[in-house]
Amino acid sequence: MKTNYLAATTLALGAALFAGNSNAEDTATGTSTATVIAPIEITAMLPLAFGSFVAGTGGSVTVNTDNTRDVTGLVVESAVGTVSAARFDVDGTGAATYSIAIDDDAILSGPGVPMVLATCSALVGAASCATGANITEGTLVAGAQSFYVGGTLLVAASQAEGDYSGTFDVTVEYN
Amino acid sequence: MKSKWLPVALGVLFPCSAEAAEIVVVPTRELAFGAFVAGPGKVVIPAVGARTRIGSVILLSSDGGSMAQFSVTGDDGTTFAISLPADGMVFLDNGSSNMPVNKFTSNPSATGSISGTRMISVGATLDVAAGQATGSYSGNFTVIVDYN
Repeated sequence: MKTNYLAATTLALGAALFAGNSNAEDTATGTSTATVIAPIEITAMLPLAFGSFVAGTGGSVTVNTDNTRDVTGLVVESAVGTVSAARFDVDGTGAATYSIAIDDDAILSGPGVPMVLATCSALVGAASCATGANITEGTLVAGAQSFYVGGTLLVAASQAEGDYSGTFDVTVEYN
Repeated sequence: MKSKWLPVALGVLFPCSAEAAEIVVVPTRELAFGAFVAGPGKVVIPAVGARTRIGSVILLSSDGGSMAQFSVTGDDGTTFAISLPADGMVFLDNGSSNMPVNKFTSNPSATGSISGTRMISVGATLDVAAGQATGSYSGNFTVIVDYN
């Protein structure tokens, strides 16, 4: 009887070792993350203002991205009126990068022949205006960034007196 | 009587003492869906390749996500099977809303063979709702490997 019992116990032990073999399987837990960000938005905060000037026999007026103004030809500056580069405020999330598309040209219409404007731009204002080389990329800092748009306006010799105005488009897109 | 039973007992015990090296799977990189603007759609992280989107989700390239990675070690030369979560089991949560994670895939796709440390990558598809709240979402998922 004793030996029968021993054999039965041994067989039972053998079965347990085969069935519960945890060496043959393992489980890992992975983590997963995602960040949902706010849509990008742009707001025009300040217009591009050339201020007042006397046309003289024509030339050009330039507003630099740091709000300073330069003239060429026989255009004479007047202290009347505000001079400012346009400022755009961009809002989004975190340190996202985004593309910037600024119209290279604009037309100012008024009492006389339209005046053609070539734009320039910078993330940080500077006493310069490189037309035909607008910025194309920005990176938000804590979800925000501003940039500035200046330009060079061509003034005709017989440019009629009065107020002239126009618009230009700026588009930003996460990339 | 005693000697008749002894060979039987020994025959049962011996195979169990020659054990195979245990199979071990360890996460080495998380499954990151990256950053994106919500819109009705999905963000897809394949097991191999770059992130893509379906529908109106806008992907942010400066945070492009990546597939998860796990290391598998065990008996060199043996094959193993990979078990991934079924659809409807995994969600990323931000504390108040969640996004389902489905269509888990892996590379290798179902089985692999062990040679030193074997890496497997895991991808999946994240469902994004139209008004999904902004913020950071996270969750867990289980990967099982078996000798087969």
